[in-house]
Amino acid sequence: MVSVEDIEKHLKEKFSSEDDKIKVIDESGGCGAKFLVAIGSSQFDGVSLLERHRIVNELLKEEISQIHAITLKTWTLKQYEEKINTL
Amino acid sequence: MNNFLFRVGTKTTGFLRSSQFIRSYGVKQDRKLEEIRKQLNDNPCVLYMKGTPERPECGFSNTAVRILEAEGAVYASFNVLKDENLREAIKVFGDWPTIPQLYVQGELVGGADVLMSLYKSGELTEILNNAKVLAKKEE
Repeated sequence: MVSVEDIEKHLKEKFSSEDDKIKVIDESGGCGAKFLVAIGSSQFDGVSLLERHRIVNELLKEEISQIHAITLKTWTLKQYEEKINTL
Repeated sequence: MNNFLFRVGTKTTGFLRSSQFIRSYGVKQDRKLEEIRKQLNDNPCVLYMKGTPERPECGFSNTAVRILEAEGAVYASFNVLKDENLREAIKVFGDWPTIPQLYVQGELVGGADVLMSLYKSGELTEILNNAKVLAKKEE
């Protein structure tokens, strides 16, 4: 079973700076099959959306192969501030 | 090639895990990848999805269909639930782990989340328009 902690751990391999924001929400109601992942990082500045998702998909490939559904929000720090409260 | 087989072998689950199946999988997958190339060659806009546009069988695939409808796009679709080999091959082909996947002129545009963002920003209209896959507006 995949947990919020598993996902956070893998995301922190790349998003480890103090400024990086990571929010992982289990939307499965406890069975661990559906997650929402929001990341805010300056590493996304100037990177296309497809490429941002590829970066995260690669970090989470182990988890993604085990779960049913995942929603990714890959934001710059500015976008994160603007959008995180609208989730 | 070994690397490729290993990756496929570790990703498969359940009944796919028989060693015989994995041995034959490389060949089968090569054939599938070739089939995908042909599908993308024949159709400028292609959605790989779960279910059909008339009856999507997953919320994310439904989102993709609704977006393409709203855009007025003309597209071909393939149901990966009807073809387990296609379901695995398209993930390898697009280097993308999830379904749906939208391709325009042979290029992966994105999955449901990416499509929704591109739709909201207007970029998707531009991509579809440039590829000339938007239906002509009624007079």
